[in-house]
Amino acid sequence: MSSASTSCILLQLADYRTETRRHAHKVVQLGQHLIQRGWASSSTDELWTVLEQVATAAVESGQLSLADVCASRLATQFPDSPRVALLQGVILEGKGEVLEAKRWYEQLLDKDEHNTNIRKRLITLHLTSPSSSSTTLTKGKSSTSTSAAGGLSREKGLEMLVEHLDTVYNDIEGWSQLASVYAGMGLYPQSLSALSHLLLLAPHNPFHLLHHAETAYTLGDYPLAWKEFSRVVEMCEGVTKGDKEGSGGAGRRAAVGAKLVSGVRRSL
Amino acid sequence: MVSWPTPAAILIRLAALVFLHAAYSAWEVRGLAKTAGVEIPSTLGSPLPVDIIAQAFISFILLATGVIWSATPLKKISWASEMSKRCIDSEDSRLSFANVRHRGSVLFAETD
Repeated sequence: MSSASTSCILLQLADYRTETRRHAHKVVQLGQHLIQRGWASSSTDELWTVLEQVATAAVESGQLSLADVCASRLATQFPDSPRVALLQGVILEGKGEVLEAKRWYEQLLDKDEHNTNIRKRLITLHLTSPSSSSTTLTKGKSSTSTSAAGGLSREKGLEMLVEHLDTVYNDIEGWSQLASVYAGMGLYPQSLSALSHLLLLAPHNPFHLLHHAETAYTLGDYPLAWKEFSRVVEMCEGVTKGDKEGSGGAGRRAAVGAKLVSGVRRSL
Repeated sequence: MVSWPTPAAILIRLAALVFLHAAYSAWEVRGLAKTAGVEIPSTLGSPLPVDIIAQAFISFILLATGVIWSATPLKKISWASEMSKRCIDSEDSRLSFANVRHRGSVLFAETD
């Protein structure tokens, strides 16, 4: 792996950018290889996207010094860029300074209220804070009390997310996030309705239909779950279809779901 | 690491050389005919000897065959085939809403 050429590493990083999986440690490893080879001193156009990618991955892997270095490099090159400002906010989040991050994002939103990426980070900040009703139970913890004092709560995040989706209807990630927030609170009917909006926006994607089917199953709506699981298997053209490793596609998971539903229906 | 070029690459190189050679011979023959004052009977519309025309056509066909042979494999166009390559981790990742304060900072921290 360390003997791979620079162009191989760059291709791999470009693949990771389009793939949208969450494996920050791999990105950081590749980024460190590149920096050790001194590639960061060259000035290609790709350098800046790679720096941004490595900086966000470094925050998730706890390597805040690397993230700071990348961010300062980007800030000197692009002084007033909203993307760099977003990155600096993410670094603040990673350092644990949530109130600072909240202030930073709100400042940026005051300057430009149409920046959806900043709004999404602010929503994430709210959603990953404890819910406002739980602070009475955890009095001793300093972090909980500071975030509650700063006005960060999960309910506020939920409210902001619903407002955001009212304005920007076709945000697929937003609907998916809303569904998972409701599911996390145990509100499965609301989660199901959020997923139905998602299905309107991306009807070709069997994974969203699978998510809908699994939520219907959790809710106890077995006829709906059965219909949807079969529909996913039909969409994926069978159960065993997939790439060479056989791990791709939603067909197999949907088939397992259909088996579960048929087991329940027999016992009813 | 030195490696042999693929058969398709070899075919492309050879066919291209022969094709260029046919073009050069055609130019040379026309020049010589002009200086010698000789009129060459036209075959297939151009006043060139048959062997040069045959060389040009055959080398072009071989060049086209080589180019098609060396092309990357075709990808499928249906949604089902595209979706069968994706995995659920990439579909449900929701990167814009990703929480960065998780145990990744503990698991992957620099070991001092």
